[in-house]
Amino acid sequence: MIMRLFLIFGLILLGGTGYFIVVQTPPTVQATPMIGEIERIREEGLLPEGIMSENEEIEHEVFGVPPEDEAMIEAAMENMDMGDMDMGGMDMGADGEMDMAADGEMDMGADGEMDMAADGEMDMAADGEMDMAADGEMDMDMDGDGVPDMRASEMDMGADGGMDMAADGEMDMGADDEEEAERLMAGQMAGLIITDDGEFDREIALSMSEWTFSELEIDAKPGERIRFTMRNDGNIVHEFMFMGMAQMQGVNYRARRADWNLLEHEALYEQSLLLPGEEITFVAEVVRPGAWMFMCMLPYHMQLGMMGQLATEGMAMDM
Amino acid sequence: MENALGLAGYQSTMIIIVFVVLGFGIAALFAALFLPARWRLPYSMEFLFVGLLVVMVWYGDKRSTEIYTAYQDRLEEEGVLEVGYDPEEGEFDQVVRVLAFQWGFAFVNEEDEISRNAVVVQPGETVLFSLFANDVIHGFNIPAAGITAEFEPGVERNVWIRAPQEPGKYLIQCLNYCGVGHAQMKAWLVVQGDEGDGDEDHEEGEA
Amino acid sequence: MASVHDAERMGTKPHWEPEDVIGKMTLSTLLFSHHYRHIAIKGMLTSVVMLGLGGLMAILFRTELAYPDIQILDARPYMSLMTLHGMFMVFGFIIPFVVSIMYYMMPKILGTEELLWARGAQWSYWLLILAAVLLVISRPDFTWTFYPPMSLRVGGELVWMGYVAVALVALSEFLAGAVLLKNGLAAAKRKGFSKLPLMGWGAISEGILLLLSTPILGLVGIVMLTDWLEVTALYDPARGGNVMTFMFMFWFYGHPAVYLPLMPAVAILYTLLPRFLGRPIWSYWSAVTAFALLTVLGFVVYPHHFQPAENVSGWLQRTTQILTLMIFIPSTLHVFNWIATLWSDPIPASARRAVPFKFIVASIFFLMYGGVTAYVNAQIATDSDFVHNTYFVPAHFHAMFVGFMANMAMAGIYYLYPYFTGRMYSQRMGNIHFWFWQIGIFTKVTMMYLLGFNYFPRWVVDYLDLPQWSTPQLILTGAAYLIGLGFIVFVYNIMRSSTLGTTVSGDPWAIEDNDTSGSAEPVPAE
Repeated sequence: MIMRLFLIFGLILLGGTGYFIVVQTPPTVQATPMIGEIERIREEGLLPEGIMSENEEIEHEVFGVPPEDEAMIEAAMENMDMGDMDMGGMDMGADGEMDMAADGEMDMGADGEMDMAADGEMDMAADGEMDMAADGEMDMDMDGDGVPDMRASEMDMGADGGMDMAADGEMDMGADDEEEAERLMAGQMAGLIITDDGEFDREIALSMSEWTFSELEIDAKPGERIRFTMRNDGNIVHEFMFMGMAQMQGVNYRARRADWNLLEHEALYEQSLLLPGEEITFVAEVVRPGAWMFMCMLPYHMQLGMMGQLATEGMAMDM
Repeated sequence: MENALGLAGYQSTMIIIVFVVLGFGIAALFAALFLPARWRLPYSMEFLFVGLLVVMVWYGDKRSTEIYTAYQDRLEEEGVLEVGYDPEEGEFDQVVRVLAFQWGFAFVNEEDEISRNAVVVQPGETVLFSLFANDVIHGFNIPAAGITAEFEPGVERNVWIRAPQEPGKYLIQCLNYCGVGHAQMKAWLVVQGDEGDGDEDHEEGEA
Repeated sequence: MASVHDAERMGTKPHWEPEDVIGKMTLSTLLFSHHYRHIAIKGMLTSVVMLGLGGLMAILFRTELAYPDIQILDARPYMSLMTLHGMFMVFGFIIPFVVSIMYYMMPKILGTEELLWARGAQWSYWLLILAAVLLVISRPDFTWTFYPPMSLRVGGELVWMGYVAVALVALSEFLAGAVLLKNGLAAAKRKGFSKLPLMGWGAISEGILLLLSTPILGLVGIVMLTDWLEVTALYDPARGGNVMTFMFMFWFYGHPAVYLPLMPAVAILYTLLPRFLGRPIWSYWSAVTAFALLTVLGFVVYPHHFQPAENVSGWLQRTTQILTLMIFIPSTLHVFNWIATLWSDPIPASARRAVPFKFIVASIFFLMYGGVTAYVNAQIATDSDFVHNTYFVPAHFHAMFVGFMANMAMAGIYYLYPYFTGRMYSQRMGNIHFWFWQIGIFTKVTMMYLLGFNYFPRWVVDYLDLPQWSTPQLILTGAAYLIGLGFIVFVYNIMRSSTLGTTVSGDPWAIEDNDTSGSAEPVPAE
């Protein structure tokens, strides 16, 4: 009898504990020190005050991007139209809808053209070439005031031969600027362009701390330029980045993997380290309606709550 | 640790000694169990055995002390362990400040440039790492250099290595449980140079 | 000499009689009886349940680790499983189990049918149950060594239960130590120290270890609680505390803690080996010396657990290295003694058949397999290289805890089984259990040594996809499943045989010498 009692008791205990821990997973909690060490280290003169410049020797090749990322991002982009995400009609203006069709082509208008301005067509066809305009210039005049917001003739997209923006020859700006240009391009495609400086319509001051941002939902209007000041008010080192929905979904598959810190991922904007007390400024231009996420993507920081979104009206995603 | 000194094979030597002793022990056990011949050991055998063990203890202590004092002496020579140490005056080829936080590493080089999860060194140079923990106890381990250290908030821990000769990326990992991101707390030790084997990742290495 | 057959030493009453003790127990005797047999059986069965629980935790997180990348467990539940695995195995299974066996054996040694201060043993048991309940509810994820300040900042609102559980465990073990020391000393006084059976020496050593080390664990638990409540700030550097305080305090308990299950297991081996072989231990005084040496040295080597946390310097480090190197001497004395005992005369066929004897032999094997690497772990140069906080350390302590102590626990259960149930278990299932376990444990320990040598870190839910990491992990998971399977066979065996096994009378472990060469005469002592 006693043996059976122990057996039954044991099985209940095992089953219960297993369920309690694995199925009904406990929430992740991580408190932070009352005072981070960085304050003290700075006082001792071991670290300089103010923001430190990034080490140029660390080329981005040190952190590779796994090949699966591309496939995952594409799959995320497909899903975005298909109902996983309710994007609604993306109103690009008078010219129609942006339909991100399942065949991978981005059809920018009902007639297959992205009308960026009155005088040009952007046809982003599947063959990888981006032929910006008949006259060789990509004139991105968003708000129709006649002033080009970004002159593509200054951008040489690189040696792959696919994109030759300027009819007047190549200006090879070097790898970093190539990356910068790629980033701006991605921003253009995603609808949010972020630069270090520039004209702006309004200012928002944000701060990050453990484990949140001072504002998690930011509203914006299409065409608006906002200058953000992001300050690390916490006790731990953070990073700051802006990512498009598809980009974020695309790397989710490896966000908890052991090699997360050893690899890179594309972002619309990234400040890789922000020590407590440090502050950065950047200008974000909302090209068209949409929603974009900003977060700290250090291991588990996001899962603990450091993620917010910047969205135009009606576009905010349920998080 | 001994890789830092450019010696080779110490760990393997100890492992071999240990497994040889194990072999004898297992052989004795199996002989006692399965050999028909019996052996009534005289008590003196045990004293002999203890003598052998004392020799092993002495040898292990000697070798290990040689190695760690050589390592330590380098730190002491440079005055690293004293208050007011000035990295500029030291003999290490490079001094890197390492800030370990939940969950990553920030490396600050001599020009006060900061980098996340990667540090660049030249092949074969001696690098002093000044380790700071921002929040909880972290570990610092470079398998290719054979060094492990553990450090808590509030102290400056100094470890030095001799960077590997072959260019490439080597793993640095946190080796003390520091929270949910511990498994992801890894970084690259990038040894610069002509990479004949450009993309090869040396993600572990031992003597 | 410590011969089990020496009637004078074991008491004049015939007491090695199979009897259905378990079958006659009722719920009230189970819960409230102070009789040593009931307390011992209660303790042993509860410990086996804890072994099952700890094992389940291990199987679950081993499944996650089989392949790189996160499949079923995120970091938080993974660490809860690992923490509970460690705590249940150490505090819930191995220490209470060996202590409970001693509760059973001591009255035999004393020659009376009474465990002195059984009330202490009772309290010890129930405090441990309370601690176990608190631990499960709080689901701590701070590893079984709960280093602050991390352990003060994770876990959630209920984590204080974990700290209280630690203090309760300390109290429970303290009481157990008091009981063992009291009984050991009473036996020594009654028989004279030079004629005290080795189990008595084991009890005295164990009692001293427990009484001196557990108070500081209790203090650690209390200070963790007050630090967490922000009443004190002893351990949190951000509030003015010092992590080294914790290290010194915790490991002062933490190192003797590993000898707490070792001592009784060794004592049980010293008792059972002569029983199966029919001859006394080769050297009584070697055993006593080894017990004494380990008890003393066990208290002074603890800084080796946090050696890489300090710049290597000074006399403390050197002394710790030398003493730690020396501490593997007493254990080798034990092994030398056992092998000499085995070798001196023929081994009876009845011993070779007996499942407990097989487990004893396996224990000796694993004590060697795990013990030799103590030589590598002790040296600072290697410790600061591939040993500290890599899988090399779990390899060493799993070889000891599972390979030696759990195997001895099984030997103890199989040996005492007829005496508790009046029946014999199924030999075939016992053998299957034995082989599953030894293959599993050997594979497991070897894989862990390999991983440690390759710098695989501890406490990680996921790892880089390197072949030298992923292949051994997969094999390790397989070995863990094998051990789990062996455990299931074991439970089935003891359950089934308690009602359906062949009844036994007389001496189930009587020595039958099928070979005619030499007799089972005891070798003359020194």
